[in-house]
Amino acid sequence: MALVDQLRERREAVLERWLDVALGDYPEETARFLRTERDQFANPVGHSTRRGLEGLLGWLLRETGRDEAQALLDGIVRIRALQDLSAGRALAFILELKELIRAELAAEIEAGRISQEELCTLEKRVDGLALLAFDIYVECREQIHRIRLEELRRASWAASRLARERGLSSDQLARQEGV
Amino acid sequence: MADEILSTIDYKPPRRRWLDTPVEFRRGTWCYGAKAKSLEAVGLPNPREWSPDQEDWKLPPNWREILLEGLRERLERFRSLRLFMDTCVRCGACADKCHYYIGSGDPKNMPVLRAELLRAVYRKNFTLAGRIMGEFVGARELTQDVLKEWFYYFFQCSECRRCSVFCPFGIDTAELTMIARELLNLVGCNIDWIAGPVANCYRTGNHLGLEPHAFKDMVDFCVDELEEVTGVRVEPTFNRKGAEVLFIAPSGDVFADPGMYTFMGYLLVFHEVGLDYTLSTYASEGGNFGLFTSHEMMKRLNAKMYAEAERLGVKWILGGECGHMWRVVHQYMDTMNGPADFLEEPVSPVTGTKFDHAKSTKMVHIAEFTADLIRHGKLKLDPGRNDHLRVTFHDSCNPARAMGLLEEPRYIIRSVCRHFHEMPENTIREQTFCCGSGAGLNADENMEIRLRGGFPRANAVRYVREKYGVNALACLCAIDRAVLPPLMEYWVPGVDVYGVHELVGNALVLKGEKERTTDLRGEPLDRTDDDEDL
Repeated sequence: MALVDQLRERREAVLERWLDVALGDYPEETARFLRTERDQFANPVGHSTRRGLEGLLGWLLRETGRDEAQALLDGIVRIRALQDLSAGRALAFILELKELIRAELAAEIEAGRISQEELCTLEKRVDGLALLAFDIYVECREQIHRIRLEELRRASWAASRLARERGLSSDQLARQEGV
Repeated sequence: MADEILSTIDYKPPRRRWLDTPVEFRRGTWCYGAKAKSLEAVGLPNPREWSPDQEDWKLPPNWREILLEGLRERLERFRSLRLFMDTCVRCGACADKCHYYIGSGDPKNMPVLRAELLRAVYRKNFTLAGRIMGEFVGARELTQDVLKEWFYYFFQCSECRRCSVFCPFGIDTAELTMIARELLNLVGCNIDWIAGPVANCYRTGNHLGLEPHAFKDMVDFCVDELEEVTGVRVEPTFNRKGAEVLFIAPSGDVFADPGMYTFMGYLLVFHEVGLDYTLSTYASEGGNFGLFTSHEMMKRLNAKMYAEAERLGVKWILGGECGHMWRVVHQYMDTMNGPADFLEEPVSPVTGTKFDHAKSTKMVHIAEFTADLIRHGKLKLDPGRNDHLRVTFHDSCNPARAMGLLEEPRYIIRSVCRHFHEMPENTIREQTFCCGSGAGLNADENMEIRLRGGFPRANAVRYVREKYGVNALACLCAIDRAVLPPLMEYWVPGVDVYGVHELVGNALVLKGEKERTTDLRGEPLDRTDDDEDL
C-alpha cells in the first residue's frame, strides 16, 4: 500500500493542486476569488468545491461506499451542471486527478517504489468516480427541465382551474382572457 | 483515434480580456425577446418578431444615434447617473457581492464590470479623455456586439441592490441597470417576460391580463377554501365605494400556488378585526413591471393605485406582501404620482396607531399593520398550529433594502410560530441574498441563470436545514413565493415556501371557528410538546 501511504502523506499538496485544476475552469479573477474567500456563505461555490475535493480524496484513500462518493460528487457536480461549462469541461477535473497523482509521485514511480498495479487500481477508482459524476450530471440536467415544466404547470394553475369551472378548455380560456 | 480527439480538446477557458470576450447566447441563460404585440399595446418603439440568439436583431437603422441621444438625455435628467458614471474607482468592494457572480463565476456579473459596460460607452462619447485616449481609459465604441452584451448582462441583474450596500460611494447599481434597460427599450430590446405583463397590466390591471370576473372568481375560490378549513365564511367586497381602506396585493397572491395561501391569510386577518376594506378588480396588481422597463412606464402603471383610491373614496391604501411594489411605493410613487392629497394619513381603525412614515404616500405595508395588531393584543394566536413547520425567513430584497422592513416580519413570525431559526448573518437583513429571479427575470426559459443566481440564498437555507431541520422558508414577496419553490427543489429538497401571512392565517384563532385539523394548505397539524425554539 505504498501508494496510499504516499498519497496520505502528500494529501495537502495533492488537494491544493487538484483545487487548482478544478478552479482553473473559471476565468482568472473568479478562480482567485473562489480560492481565497473562505466564508462559506460569501463563497458557496469555492467552499463546496474545496469541501467536495477534500472528501473525494479521503474517499479514494479509505475505499468507503458508493453513497458517500455520490454525496460528495453531488456537492460539486450540481453546481457545475448549471454553469457555462460543457459537460466535458464540467467533469474533466475528475479524470485529471490521475495525471496529477502521477506527476506528484513521479519520483516514487520512477524508482519502482509504487507498483503499476497499485496505480491501476487507484486509477480505476477515479474512473468509477467519473462515471458516477456523469450520472449525477445527467440527472441534474434532467431535473432542470423537470423544474421548468413544473413551473409552467404552476403558472397555468389558475387558468386551468377557471377553465374547469366554466367547462372550457385551457386554449379556449386563454383566447377568452387574452393570456 | 481517441488520442487524436482528446488532443483537440482544451479544457481551459481562453485567456481574454473582458472587452474582447463576446457574449454567447447559450440557451437557459437569456429570456425571449419582447413580442411585437406586447410593445404595441403600450406604444413602445420598434415592435417586431425577433430573438436574441439570432444574428439580426432587426434594430432601427439609426439605433446607435437613438441610444446615444437617450443616454445624453438621461445624463442631463438624472444627476445620480452622472455621479454613478464618474465616481466609481473600481475598488472592487461590490465585485463578489452579486449573487449572479457568486453563482456563475462570470466576471461580467460583477456589479463593477456590469456597470462598466455602460460606463465604457459613456466615456467614449461623453468625456474628452475617452474621445481622445479610447481604450487606454476604458472607453469603447457602441457596436451591435456591445448592445447585445448590454441586453445579456442587464437582464442578468435583478436590481436587488446588495452590491450597493457595500459600495463606499453609495453607487446604486440597480439604478444603472434601470437606465440601461430604459435605453434598450428605446430600440425595442426588452424581454417578453417583462413586456407581456406590462401590456397586460396596462390593459386589465394585472400581470396575467385576467379580467374583473376572473379576479373575483379566484378570490371566491379562496373564500370557499377558507370556509372548509376554518368553518368561517369571510366576505371580501369588490370596488366598493366609501370603504375605509383599499387593499392591493400582488396578483400572484390571487392567482398562483402557493401565493394564494398568503392571500387567504390576509382575508382572515381583515375578517377577524372587522376591517372596512375593499378589493379592486382594476387596481388588481401590486407589482409594477414598469419599474423594469422605464420611469415613464413605472409611473403609468403605478397611477392606477391612486386613481382607484380616489374613485372609490377610501381614506388610505393597505398593500400586501409584494417585493418591488414597495420599492416603487416607498421611493418613487410620491414624487411620480403624488401627493395624494385626497387621501388621509393612515390610522389603524383597530388600534388607533398613526402610521407616520406613510404620511405622504398614504400606503401602509401589511406587515406593519399586522405587527401593530399583534403588539396591541388584537389577534388571538395559537402558534402551536404551526408546529409542523420549522421556519426560517428570507428577507425579500426590496422590503429589506428599499424600505428597511426588517423587524416587523420577524416579530410576526415569532408571534405565530414556535420554531424559528435565522440564516447566517451575512445572508439576511440588509445583506440578504436575492432569490435570483427578481426584476422580471422569473421566466422559465432562463432557469439556469435563476438557479445559479439563487445558489447563495439556497446555500444559506441548506445550512439551517442541516443544523435545525428547517422545512419552511417564509418570505415577504410574491415573486419569491413563485420562484423559491423551484430553487429549493434543486438545491434544498424538503423545504416548502410560505408567505408570512399564511403562517398568521394558520395561527389566527377566529371567533366562531371550528376546530382546525389542517393548516391552510390542508396539511395535518402536528402540535409538539417540546419547548419553543425561537
